[in-house]
Amino acid sequence: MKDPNHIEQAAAWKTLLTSGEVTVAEQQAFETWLNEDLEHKKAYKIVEKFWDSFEHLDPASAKSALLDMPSKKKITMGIKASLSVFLAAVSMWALVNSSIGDHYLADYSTTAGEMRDLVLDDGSRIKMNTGSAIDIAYSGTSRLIKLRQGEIVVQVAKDLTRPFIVETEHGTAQALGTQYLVKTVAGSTSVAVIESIVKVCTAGGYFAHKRIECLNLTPATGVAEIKPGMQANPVDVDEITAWTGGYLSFESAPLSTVLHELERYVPGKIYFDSASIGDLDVSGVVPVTDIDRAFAMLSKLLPISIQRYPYLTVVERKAGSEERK
Amino acid sequence: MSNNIFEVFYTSHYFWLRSYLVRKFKCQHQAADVTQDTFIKLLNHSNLSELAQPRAFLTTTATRIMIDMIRRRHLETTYLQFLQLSKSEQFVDSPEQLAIAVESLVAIANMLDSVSPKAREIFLMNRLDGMKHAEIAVHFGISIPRVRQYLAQVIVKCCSVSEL
Repeated sequence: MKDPNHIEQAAAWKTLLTSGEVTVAEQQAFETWLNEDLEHKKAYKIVEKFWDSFEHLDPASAKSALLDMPSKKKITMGIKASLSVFLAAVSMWALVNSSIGDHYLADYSTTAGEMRDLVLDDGSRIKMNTGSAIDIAYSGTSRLIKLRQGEIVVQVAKDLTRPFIVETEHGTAQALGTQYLVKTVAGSTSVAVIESIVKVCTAGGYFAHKRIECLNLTPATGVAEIKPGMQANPVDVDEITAWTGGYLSFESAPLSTVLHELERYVPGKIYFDSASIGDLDVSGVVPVTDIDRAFAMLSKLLPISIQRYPYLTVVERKAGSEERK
Repeated sequence: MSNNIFEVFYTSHYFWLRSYLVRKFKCQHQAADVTQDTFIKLLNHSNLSELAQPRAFLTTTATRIMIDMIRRRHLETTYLQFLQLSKSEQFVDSPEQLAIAVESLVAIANMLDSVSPKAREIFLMNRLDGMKHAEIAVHFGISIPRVRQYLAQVIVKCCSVSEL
């Protein structure tokens, strides 16, 4: 346990040691203190952890953010004083910036567990996976699909005069007459090519001075994340487009990965403790258009229990199953 | 906790809490998020069935979650704004790095909550600006040992409430 006295001593040592004015004698005294008791070591470790937690912050920005930080008390008072005004502003923010807002402002969208097929004016086809939202902007010079969130497979009709481009906040994927898949979830965009050739480029925006980087992808290759320094890797086209047939296929995937994938197909959240189910693997095919069946399968295959509430699914390891191999 | 108790608790209060938060937030989605986080937090609460005023308890928990959310957003926005203002071309943080930075900031902000504003400023001057003890002493017109007292005091307070 933390002993307040040891922490105080450790804090005093840390202050001295980081002052840049330590004498040899003081350094020796510190070593002696540190080694004379295991509790001293523990206390010093806690102090160092705190000290080092500043390490990966940009100093000037972090200082501004922390000094500018209203205390919890102030926020509470603020909430009580002007709850509706302040929170209305937050929800506006959410509507403009979040994926939820994107969803409602988009031309076409799918909800959790829903899939949708679109045929566009030029004969191109788009298959939208669960929780996806797109805008369609066809003009005389280009065919632009803005993927706000989610995953789509596009089958592009040939039109040499108008390039077909899928754009996300991370970059673009331009078809040169072809079938390909673009997926943007959890803050990144991946692209996989099924037929022909696709040109993938990073976005210029956000940090406007970023240089745009492009890459040509051939069939059965893809990039896992559109970002500077990205590289083409082979992809298993059947596996990644399995959802278009209504199922997901896994090959010794950790259960937590499977649940994260499934979460996209379920309204609300799936809650689980990764530590307790860490050793469980899933191999096989899981239906996603019938999510009840998917959960029934998983709870039959693995020592887990699954409770479903409105907007919340709780996955827990069955008691006493930890010992089993 | 037995699943049954949680189930009863969840089904009897879920829609009430959500509509309560919808009224406060004027936003369905924000309310749904906070409602879920609230119940997830209570998932391992041992005495759900014995709560005298479950709804008061729920609103308190939900309010705490809301405060944390507002704080997190505040820290994130301020940090990002300053980062963009101050950074030259060679430095572009990846989304992962930013996420890690924001996590650290939230943890640090929570720990610094118990510290007086002056002590906090002295500590951040030393830890983030790299100001020497003597420089801080001059800046505030106090002695060097006093500066060290402040610094050690901040470390002690933060480590005793540490979430790390």
